[in-house]
Formats: sequence, structure tokens, C-alpha cells
Amino acid sequence: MTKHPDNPKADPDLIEACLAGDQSAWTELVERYSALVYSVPSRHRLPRDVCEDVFQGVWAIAVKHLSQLRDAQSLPAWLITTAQRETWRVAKRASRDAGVALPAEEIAWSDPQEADELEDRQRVRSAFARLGERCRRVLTETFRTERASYDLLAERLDMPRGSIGPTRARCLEKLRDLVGEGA
Amino acid sequence: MADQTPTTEQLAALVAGELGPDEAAELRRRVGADPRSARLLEEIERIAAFLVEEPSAQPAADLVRRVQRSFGGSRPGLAEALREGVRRVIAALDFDSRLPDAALGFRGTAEAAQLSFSCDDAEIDLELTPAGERVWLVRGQIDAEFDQPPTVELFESDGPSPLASAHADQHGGFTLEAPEGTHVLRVTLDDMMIEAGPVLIP
Repeated sequence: MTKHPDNPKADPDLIEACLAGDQSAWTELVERYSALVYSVPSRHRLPRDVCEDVFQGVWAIAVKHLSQLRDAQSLPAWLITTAQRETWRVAKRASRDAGVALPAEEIAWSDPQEADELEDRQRVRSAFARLGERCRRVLTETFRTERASYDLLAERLDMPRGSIGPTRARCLEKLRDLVGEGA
Repeated sequence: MADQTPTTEQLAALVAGELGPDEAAELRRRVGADPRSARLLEEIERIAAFLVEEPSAQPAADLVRRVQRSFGGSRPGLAEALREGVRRVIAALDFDSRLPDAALGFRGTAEAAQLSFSCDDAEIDLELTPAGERVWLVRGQIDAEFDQPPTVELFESDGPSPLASAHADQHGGFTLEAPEGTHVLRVTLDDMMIEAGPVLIP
């Protein structure tokens, strides 16, 4: 996960810069939302090449509609809806053409509940990207599925064993504040 | 005496599965009696779920770079043209004969290929045929209305200078020779600059 600037440009400003031919703005826009877009097909456990086709398709559509996106109320919401439709389309096609058993029938053309959940997760993602490196490491290491012992964590994080819990709590508070700022 | 409100540290330990069964049950009981703690626990669970699942939401770095490069907004001439009132339009790939029914041509190779790009104002069809070692002939057709013959330039997707350029004829036809690679085609059409890509050769 990439650390984002402390004061990231607002989406409409980034889109405006893209329309003015600013390559770095496009790079930042894709970086900001790449996980959001990719998470839509990947949460359906589709094969990697299908997920990649969806990812590329969504950005191709986004490029084509950049000028309209400038006025979009919420770029994440637009990306989610577009990714849901593209997932449905690509999965259906892959299932039909490649004969691969894909859960296309379980993939909805539009799923407002999933969209809300993904938007919420994007708020956490954006906030997490603005946390300091140390906090990001502490939270990632301590909440990972395969958790290490506290001794090992202390070594990995280069901090006393007794500091892990309080540090994690402080990092969580910071993260919650950042999520609140972005809400 | 009233129960103490659970701390963030305790709730984080609960979510991380670091408490014993009795300690966890007691903490859950206290959370159940305090709506604010219940909300905090829910938020921490949400954050933990995000951290666990986030790696699977990350696309491969080279895939992201490819999408980032396909835009090509920093090529020389673009900013100046935009300042002079030229409209910039992106044409997206509609068809690639190497990928039946595919939306984008990032995968697959073939001996010859047809590609088709479109935007609201134009359609651009390309035919790629081998013309030598790692060199390909690009025959194109621009389907659009124009007063002046369009100019066509082919750039490497993140390259600053055109690899090849040509003037289209009065019917919008043009021919270029291009090396293998991932490219972007820029068509200047009166007051419009159309960028079509990625053009994957072969």
C-alpha cells in the first residue's frame, strides 16, 4: 500500500489536471483507486486474468468519460458501479467463451449494498494511506490472519513488547479520526 | 460499582483474538452494556477486516503501471495544444482481433491483427501486419469529419517523442511503420486531438 500525501488533491481537481494533460495526476488517480476497482472482481474470487480484464476495462471507460466525471458527485461510487457492471459483463463472457465455471450467476449487474460496503472500505483505505509508516506497520502486523507471537512482533516492529498494545490503540484512534475527516 | 468502560487497547486485543475465553466473554458482556463501546468495537472489527482482506484487493504493480502509462498525458505538444483551444479526446479500444470479444488488448499475440478505437467524434481502425524483424506496418483509417488532412503520430506509451508520424489522406487513410511495443496513437483532427491506446504491437 502506498503512502498518500497528507493533503491529497480532491478528486475533481485531479480530474481537471488529467484533462489538462497532466500525466502525474492520472498516475495519482489510478494509484488512489486501483485497490477499490480491483477489489470488485477479486471479492467474487474470479480468476486473476478475469480480474485484470475488469480492472483495465474500468479505467478505459473512466478515461473515455473523464470530462463527465469532473462533475461526478462521488468518483468512488461511479468507479464501483462501473466495476460491478464490468465484472458482470467480463465474468459472463469468460464463462460463456472459455467454458470456465465462474460464479457469474451470483454476480449482480448492480449491488447497492456491496457498493455501500466498498465505499466505506475505501474511506478506511484512504485514511490508512495517510497514517504514518510506523502505525501502518503496527496495525498490519497485529491484525494479520496469521498472527505472530508478541515477542516476534516486538522484534519485527522494533519496539518493547509492552508498547505494542498501547501503540496499536493510539494508531487505531488516529485512523478513526482520519476516517471521520474523510466521511 | 459500575463496570469500567472498555478501552481501545482492550477492544483491539479482543478483535485480534489475543484474550483468553473468560476475559473475552467478560469484555463482550461489558461492551453489550455500553452502546459507545459497541460502536467502537464495530469500527475496530471493520478496520481489522480491511487489513486482513486488503492484500487480495491489490492489483499487480505492473498492471497498475500499464494503466497509468496508457494515458500518456505528459507528451510534448499536448499542453500547448490544449492551451490553444484544441480539444483532447480519448478513444478507447473497442475491438482487438487477437482477443475475441475482448475489451482491451493487453494480452495475446498474433501474426496480424485488427484493432478498433472509438470516441464520440471518430472511429479509428488499424490493421497490423509484419514488415520486418520486430517492425510492423500499421495501416489505419480514420472515420470522422475533418477539413484539414489529419496528422497521425505514434508514441511509446510513456515516451516523449513520436516513433512514427504521417499525414492521413483526404479519406482518412494512413500508413506507418512501427516497432513492437505498447504504443499510443495521437490523431490531430482540426481542433481536436484524439489519443487512442493502448496500441499493442504485435
